[in-house]
Amino acid sequence: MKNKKTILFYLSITALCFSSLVDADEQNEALNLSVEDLLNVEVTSVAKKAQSLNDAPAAAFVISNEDIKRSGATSIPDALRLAPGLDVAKIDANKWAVSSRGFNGRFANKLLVLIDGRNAYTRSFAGVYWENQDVMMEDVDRIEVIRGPGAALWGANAVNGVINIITKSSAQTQGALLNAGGGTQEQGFGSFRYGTKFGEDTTARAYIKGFERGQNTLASGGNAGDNWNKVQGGFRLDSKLSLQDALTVQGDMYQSQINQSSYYPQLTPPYQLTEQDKAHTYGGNLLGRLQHTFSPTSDYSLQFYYDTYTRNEVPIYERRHTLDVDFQHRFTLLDWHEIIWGASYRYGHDHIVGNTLSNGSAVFNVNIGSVNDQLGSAFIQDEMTLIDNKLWLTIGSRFEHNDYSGFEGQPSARILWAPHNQHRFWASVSRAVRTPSRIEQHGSALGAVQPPQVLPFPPFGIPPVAIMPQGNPNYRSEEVIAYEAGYRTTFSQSVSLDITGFYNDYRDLRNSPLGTPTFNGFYITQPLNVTNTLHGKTYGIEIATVWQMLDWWRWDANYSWLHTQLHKDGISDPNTAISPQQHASLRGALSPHQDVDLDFWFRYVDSNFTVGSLGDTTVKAYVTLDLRAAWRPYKGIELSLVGQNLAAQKHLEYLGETQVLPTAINRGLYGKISWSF
Amino acid sequence: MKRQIRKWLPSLLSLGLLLNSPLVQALEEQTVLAALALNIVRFTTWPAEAGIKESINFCVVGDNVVQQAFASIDSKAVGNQALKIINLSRLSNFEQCHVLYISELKQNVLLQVFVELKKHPLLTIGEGADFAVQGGMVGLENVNDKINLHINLPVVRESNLNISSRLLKLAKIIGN
Repeated sequence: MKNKKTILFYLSITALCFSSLVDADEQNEALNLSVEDLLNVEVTSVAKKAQSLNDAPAAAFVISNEDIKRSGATSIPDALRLAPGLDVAKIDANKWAVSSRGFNGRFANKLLVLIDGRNAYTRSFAGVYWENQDVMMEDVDRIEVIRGPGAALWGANAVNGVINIITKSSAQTQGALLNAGGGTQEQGFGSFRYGTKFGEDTTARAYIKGFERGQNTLASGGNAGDNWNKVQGGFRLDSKLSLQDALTVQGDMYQSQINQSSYYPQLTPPYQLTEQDKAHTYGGNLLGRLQHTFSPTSDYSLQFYYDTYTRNEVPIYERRHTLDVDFQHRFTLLDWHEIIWGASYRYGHDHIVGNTLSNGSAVFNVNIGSVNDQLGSAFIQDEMTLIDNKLWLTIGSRFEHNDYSGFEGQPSARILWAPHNQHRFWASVSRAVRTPSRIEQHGSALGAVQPPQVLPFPPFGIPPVAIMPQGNPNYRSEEVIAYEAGYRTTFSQSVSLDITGFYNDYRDLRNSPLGTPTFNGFYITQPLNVTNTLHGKTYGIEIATVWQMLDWWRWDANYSWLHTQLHKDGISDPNTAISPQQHASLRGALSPHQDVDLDFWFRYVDSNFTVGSLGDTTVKAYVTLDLRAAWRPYKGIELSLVGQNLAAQKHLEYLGETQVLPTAINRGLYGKISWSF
Repeated sequence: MKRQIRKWLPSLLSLGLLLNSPLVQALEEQTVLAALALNIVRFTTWPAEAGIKESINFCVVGDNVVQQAFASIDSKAVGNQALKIINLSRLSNFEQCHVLYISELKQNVLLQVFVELKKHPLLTIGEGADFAVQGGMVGLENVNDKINLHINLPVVRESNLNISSRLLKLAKIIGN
């Protein structure tokens, strides 16, 4: 009996020791303290991240500046691996495949990406050139990742998600920051930022950064020759023009030399040309935003930007200019409606031509080399408070007209219920479209060549077959109707949990069935006509948890499961790429001493099925591990050591659909010194 | 079995205590801010025009963590009155509030809140160094894990509020 009591006593004491960081006792203790004591007591805010619940009626996740730093990620796509439900795969050192809820690929087309309000999604092939997108990572305030449709608010192509990369105001980046480092894969990098004040109401910063990234290993063995370098510079100015008006002007310029191991199909023996080639990309942007605040519940913003990029590589030359004007107005009506409406206009001009390869052949052609296109759109959204502090209904839609698919309506309805401040339930239904790209309507390519085959009774044989994907001017938008529901809770004061389930119903997805073959005496041309004949559904769940186990030890664990089921008109099992079914990530962030950080990060990615011009391949599942240690010996100085992909010497993450030889990503190690003054 | 449990329980207990030890002197920030806010209200007197009857209405603008922390001071006694916590989900209907606590707001919106509240007998308390500088009354700033008080006396006086000298002595005064 006595033993039982002792055990029970120990058990309860132990439970208390491991219990949550804030409890009723602590609240009472604080309430019993005098003002003097309250101003002297040491406070801690570590539990806040574990407890705070997102109030968005959507599958939203925020990657903070601190998360990026502690992950050791050196690029935007690598930082996106921190978010649950995103599939980020490195094709080689300078190419990524990034997608949410399936359909991943180098030219993944259902994820919209914005950097400080500027659209990084290109009309050329409908997708994002991740190697062109960069910011001073230390100046990122946060990356908002919204999985699922965001078209009602952000416009077309936000079919399976929206990524908002938001940099800090220049008022928050005053002073100088110098970073330098290097290692095995991150061979050398450096950046310098300086922030200053111009008078009372204006702050500004300027930065320059550069890096040299090393090559990986070909899946077939040998160096991949995918090393690359980049130099980028930029500025941001924030000015309070009056009590009610604020102006932001910012811009960036970059240029990059990209090396790659490419293969191109050929109509003459050996029917494939493999070569080391280069891409030269450069570009820049300038953005201005004026914000006027009428009252706490009413403001408008007027934003314009100009963006240009040029990409010159062996098979293709591409240049694009984009001019965009956007207006948004927010106000409340009748006390229970918060309305946001806006309108925008975008003008684009491009120039795309196929280049000839070193042997004089060409693999890529665009019927119309240069196009001016326009996009006009307007949206309205009403967030209604049905029960104060408890129940909100948000309905909205965007209406737009573009030169590729004409008129598009993209409505959404979302409901959020907060029965208690520790619980949030939400559900939504929305429609979004992915508008056609330039290439899908006007391009054609030599996708693959089937070498000639000798039949067993000579001299008969099958000549070479040229497989040619053909653009289709009548190609329309792809469409999704998405149903989502989610639950968030902080069931204990040091743990939070976020679960989302979704069901997506897709129509008119891209598919390239065989057209009518022709024979010219030397080879057979087998066209693949781009059509909207693929349909299907995906469903899955995404889970994100944070556990602040101790004051100095936080766990972040994410898991996602995805099922993809596609069918052609009449055919049940089309040959399409299928994204990994499962992702898991476990991150531990420890600060055993205030000047020391230790981080570890395990990731598991399920196998994925890729379809490309080298044929169909299943990329094996992999587990990888990143480690980071940082030490701040003096105020303003941080030394860190980061190991990336430590679990294996090299591993394959994704196979590019075309051009890039299968490349395994190497283990990497780098050191960094960061000095702010 | 029992013996085994008894063997490892004390060691687990000491590990728990060891791991938990840094928490003994540190309190959760939001809890301290809520307790401080209650004390600030206790040191404040409102003019008759504020129309305070049985309760002092304490409005809170903040996320679920902030709301939860401030729930701990709901219905606490302040003189003859009781504090009543009202969570505001919109930045309107300020006339029902005697105290407005703002956890975090974009600067442009915050400035307009101050414009709207100008000369009203409403005590504003907020987080951050700039809160009092930009026109709030009491700013609570976390400096090296301790809370510092900033009080903007001209704004307090303009609104006909009175803050006790005992509190003023502990604060950094702005504006005089």
